[in-house]
Amino acid sequence: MHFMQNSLFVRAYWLVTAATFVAAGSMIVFYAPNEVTMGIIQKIFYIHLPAAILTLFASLITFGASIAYITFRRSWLDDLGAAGARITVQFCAIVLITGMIWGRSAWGQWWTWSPRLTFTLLMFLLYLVYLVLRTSIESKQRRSIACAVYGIIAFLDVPLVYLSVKLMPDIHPSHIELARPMQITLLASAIPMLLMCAGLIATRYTLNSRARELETETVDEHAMVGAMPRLGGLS
Amino acid sequence: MNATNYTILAYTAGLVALWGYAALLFLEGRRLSRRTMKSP
Repeated sequence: MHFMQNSLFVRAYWLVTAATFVAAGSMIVFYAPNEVTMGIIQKIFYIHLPAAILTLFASLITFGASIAYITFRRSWLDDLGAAGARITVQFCAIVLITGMIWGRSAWGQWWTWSPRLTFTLLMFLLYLVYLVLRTSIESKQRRSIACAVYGIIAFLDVPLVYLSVKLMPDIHPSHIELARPMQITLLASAIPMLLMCAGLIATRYTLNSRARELETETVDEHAMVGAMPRLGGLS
Repeated sequence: MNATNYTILAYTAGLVALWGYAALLFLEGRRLSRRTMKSP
């Protein structure tokens, strides 16, 4: 079975995603106006905010899949949770990197230990540990259960990322007023990011499932090879 | 470095992270396909 390269639908999906990226990029450059006080650096917003929202979306998938795995014990839920965690790390890294570059230009420093930044960094590290946990447990069943429990615990940080800026004094803005062209550009740039996020989660999930099948087949083959001499001896 | 360069840097980093990872998944898919074809 060929995964993403041979399916016409998948090819069309990635082509559309690339086209929407080009369209959104053109709007960011040519259509969205420069913000009055910050100037052109504010345009980082069009990648920073969608990436932040999709980080929460991906972590929510891991959270939901973890709860479902503990309830139903289906291996595909474990694969989905792992895919969500991997994409959470990916998007959270983009949020942190773009935020740091924006901060360097706007605040004059790469990093400050403000509540939202700290909780976002904590979120990145928590989901990074999730990925390390997956590689460090040998038994498939134990790994799945441990990761499901951890996936639920790690999600506890997500509301803190959202609420911290509202409940505690923070250098990070909690609410931004946008002019109409900025709102339209934000929406236009959220579409390719959403397509990318969904595409990456689906692909990662497919690869996880296939890797699990191959692992099971290999274990079965080894078990058969191990059993053959004993069967031969019996006959 | 001026604000324009910081903005370009941010977008380059973001896009490389996204499309770079998509390319890695594509390669992983091809590798798994080859393994599947080899297995009897």
